[in-house]
Amino acid sequence: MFRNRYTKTFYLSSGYLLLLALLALLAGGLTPYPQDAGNVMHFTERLLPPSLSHPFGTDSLGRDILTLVLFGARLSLMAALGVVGLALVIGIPLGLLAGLKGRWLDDLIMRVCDVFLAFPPLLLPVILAAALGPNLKNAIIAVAVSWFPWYTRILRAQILTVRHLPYITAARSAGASDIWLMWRHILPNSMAPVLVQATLDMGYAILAVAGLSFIGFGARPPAIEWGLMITASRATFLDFWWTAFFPGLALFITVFAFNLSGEGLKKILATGDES
Amino acid sequence: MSEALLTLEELTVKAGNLTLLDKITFSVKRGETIGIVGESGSGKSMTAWSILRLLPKGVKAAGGKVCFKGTDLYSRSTEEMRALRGRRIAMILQDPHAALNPIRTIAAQMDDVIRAHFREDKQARRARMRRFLTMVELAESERVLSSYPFQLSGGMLQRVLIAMALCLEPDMLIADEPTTALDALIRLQIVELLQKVQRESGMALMVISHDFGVVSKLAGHIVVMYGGRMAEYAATGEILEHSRHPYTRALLKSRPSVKHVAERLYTIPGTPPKAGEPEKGCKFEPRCPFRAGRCRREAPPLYEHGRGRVACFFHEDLKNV
Repeated sequence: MFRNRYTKTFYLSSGYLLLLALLALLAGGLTPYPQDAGNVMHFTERLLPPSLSHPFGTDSLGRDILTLVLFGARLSLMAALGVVGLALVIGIPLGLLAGLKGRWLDDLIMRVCDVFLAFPPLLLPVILAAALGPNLKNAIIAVAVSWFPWYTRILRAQILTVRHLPYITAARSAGASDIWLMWRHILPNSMAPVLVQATLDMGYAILAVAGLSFIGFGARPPAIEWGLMITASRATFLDFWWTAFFPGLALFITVFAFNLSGEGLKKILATGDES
Repeated sequence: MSEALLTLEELTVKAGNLTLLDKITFSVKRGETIGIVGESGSGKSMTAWSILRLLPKGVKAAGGKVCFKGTDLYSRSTEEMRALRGRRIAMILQDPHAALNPIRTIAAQMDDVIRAHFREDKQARRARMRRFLTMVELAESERVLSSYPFQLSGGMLQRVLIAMALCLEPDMLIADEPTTALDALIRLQIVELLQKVQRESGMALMVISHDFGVVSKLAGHIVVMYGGRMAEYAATGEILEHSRHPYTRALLKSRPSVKHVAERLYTIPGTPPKAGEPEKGCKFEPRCPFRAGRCRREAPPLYEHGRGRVACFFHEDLKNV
């Protein structure tokens, strides 16, 4: 039913993401240097270029960069899920209220959203993260809080369209209660664009959290996180390119994959509507 | 004669200052069918929604009564009304494709309806679904139940919707343009199906349509509406043979006929009135071939004439034209 070129993109990109999640979970068993994820130093193996025993080379502490990238994927994926999950948890109920209750509550919620959206993209998370105290959990909260208005707005707009469709009226004429209508008819038929946006945002969430970590408002050492790895390589990457290149590459491919799967999902869901 | 099941008494519905329905009065008995005929915007559907108290935002019942089994529906609580919708008065909407949630199966949606009104276990509900799907002559009820709306044809979906409405065993069924979205052959089947299910269940039926053919085949009495007012009310035979209202006559004349194929189809000149226009006088006056000065100054009342009611000053003269 959904066979088209977007399906292929979607399966490829989400396949990569699943593989990454799996590798991140099993990182300890896959790499020959699981101890590198801890606080260790190998003076004799500092800054080795990529080779067979260290395919991504080693960092300034002599740790295997491939191992670090795999372990780093844990935090980055968790950050993505955390940010988007939290933003959805805040955004969806508000969107429902705004779309269904309307009137002054709608106005209030939308104006609050406007306030959040008025800030330049990374400024609000930086302010919030700095205020809450620099650690990964707060970085996730900071990004989520500044992103939820997107979901609220999308869901509200979608509900305003869906709630006047004939099948809603039909269900009402058969005696359906408001709560029933909301759960069974309105919300499920309004969620598609929100899910697409959420998938797209996973990539940006990783980027945002890595960005916060890079400037010191996110994950702190000894945590292993891609943004943090890039920070740590600042002193070395001009002479030893691999210290920044591989964490950066992992970040780039992963963000790209989330984007592609979001786009694919969008096209697939749009095709589904027309049938 | 049994008592009327549903009676509308001078029901008036307004949106702000605009009068959308003006003193609508008629009644239906058990086992009877009433037809409501009129152009788009004549207030046919609005009448149905006002019976179920599902008027759009900003539209309010401003006067009159809707009595169902002797009590005014507008005096009931919201919760009583919700319990009554579907269970006592069911409704079928115009476009069967749009009337079902696209992402849920027929079984799930029928189950919703049954569960909202009956305390029955899973098997009993399933049996109920199958029984009524068989009643509307859908073979392979299991396959239909597990289908999504897009997997069924328009005719099948309309049957499903009829089954959904019937499975609560309502006292009255309102069918709002039940055949408009269907092609001619299916239309006839659905009309015959409605006839059959009404005979079997003994409920009252209200058919809303702009199609005189559909309504006259089903209904014992017909209400002709124009611009939110009743133009004429009488038994179907009386309307067809001895209509006393120029609008009804014009409508009947503009039906396509197999007998007179060569003729150009008659159309009523002008367009239907907007809500609230004209402010004074008879709503049909600007398009009426029989109009006189009086029609522009005052609105004709509903005259009782023994065999029905009609809102035209010249109904006596028209009777014999």
